Amino acid sequence: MRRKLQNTTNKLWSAAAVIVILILWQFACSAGMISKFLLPSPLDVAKAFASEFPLLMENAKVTLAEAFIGLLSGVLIGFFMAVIMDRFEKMYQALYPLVVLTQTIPTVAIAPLLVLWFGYEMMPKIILIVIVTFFPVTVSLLDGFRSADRDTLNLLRAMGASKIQIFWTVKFPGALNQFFASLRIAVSYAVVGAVISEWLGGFSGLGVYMTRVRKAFSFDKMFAVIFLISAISLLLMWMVDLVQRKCMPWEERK
Amino acid sequence: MSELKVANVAFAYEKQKNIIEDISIELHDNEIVCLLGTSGSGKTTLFNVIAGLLVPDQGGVFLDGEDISGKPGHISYMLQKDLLLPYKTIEDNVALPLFIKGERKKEARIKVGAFFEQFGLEGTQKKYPHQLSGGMRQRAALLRTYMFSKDVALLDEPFSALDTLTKSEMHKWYLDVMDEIRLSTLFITHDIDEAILLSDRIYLLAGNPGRITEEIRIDEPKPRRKDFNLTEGFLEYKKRILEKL
Repeated sequence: MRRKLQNTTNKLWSAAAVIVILILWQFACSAGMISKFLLPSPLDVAKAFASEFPLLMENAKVTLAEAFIGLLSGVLIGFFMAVIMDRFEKMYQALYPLVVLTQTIPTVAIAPLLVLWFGYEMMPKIILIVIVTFFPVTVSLLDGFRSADRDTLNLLRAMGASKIQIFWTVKFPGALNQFFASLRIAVSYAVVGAVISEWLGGFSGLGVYMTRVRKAFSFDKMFAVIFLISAISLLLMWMVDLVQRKCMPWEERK
Repeated sequence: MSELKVANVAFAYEKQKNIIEDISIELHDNEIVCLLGTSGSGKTTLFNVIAGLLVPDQGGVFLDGEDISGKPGHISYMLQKDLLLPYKTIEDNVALPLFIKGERKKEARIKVGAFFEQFGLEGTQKKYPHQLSGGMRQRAALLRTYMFSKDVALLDEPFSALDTLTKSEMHKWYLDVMDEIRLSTLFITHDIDEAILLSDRIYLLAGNPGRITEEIRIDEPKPRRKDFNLTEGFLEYKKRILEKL
């Protein structure tokens, strides 16, 4: 109970900080300290958001679809890689450096190539998202699998458990905490990845919209879409938390 | 009816010097036998050999005449750490060996449920391990071991992590439960009092490499009187063991 209260007060403080920043920003704009051309006031952004709402939602649908398909494939591939590398030591030695290498490739550099190879539709975007999301999932799951308690593994072996049984009763549930932590990262990567790949070629999506309003110097709309992307990421992270709590009821009772 | 026989077992890690040598012990039906040893005498190595996790370099482990050396899946054990899975309820933790054998969840839960009262665990079925005290968790761990095999169990210092009061309470509970379920047990410990208090026979394991140096029979009828550990007889046994170690 007390912890819950503490939690609420903590949230109050951060909410207060956001409100103070917004007020200061509005004040700076209204007082004419910053020209409207360079930085729109929060009220202007809100107005732009309201007037552009249908268009924003239409584009958000595309971006979300890409992010979702990419994330799902990324997580599945990440899971598969982690299982293979945990099961076969040789695979670990062969693949782990490669996996790390994929993360050193600058996303912005390969996105145009992907567009060249796979066209302006969803495919290049999904591939880019897979590249950025599978990594945190693979690394954290692998770490979780490998840090399973030795004594517990031995006990299961002594009971005659098969490798698959050991995986599903000890290794996988033991790695869930790490998995959800990585999923939270992967979710935000997926949204940002989708937007970036849309910048570099596409017909619709929040990234395409963003490029268009930037070229028109409509900074109020630009900020509206930035806030929307942040809001979407936060919402998705919150949903991951929700799923985590549903999947791990034993953590709740601590 | 079960009999565990360890015959002339020797073991060394990767061709180094032997950790244990020429170990022969027997565990008869419905017996509690203690393996009492100083630290470094290879207690845990022997334990892993009997559980089938390590293959002995010489000799063998036999359960009812069948050679089970290096074959896990025949004998379960319990350690100082309870090793209950934090994300499973007590009932599912206890039923784990049955799940592994492929029994349906529902049936396995009903099967283990029948023993909760006898093991002093009533009402904990749906709880998670962290909601239980150390003593209760060890009870659950013992029940899990019992669910794996109703014949033979290995216990490696199962109560040594508990505080003195809980420990003596657990000893009493353990003897009561053992009297009812008649599980043959090989009990590894470094606590002399515990060994005399609980066992029918004691093997002393000492030296480097570890060998069985002595076998002592405790001729005190069971159930044992409450103040057995304060009697002259008890002290005689203790004296004898201390001389040999």
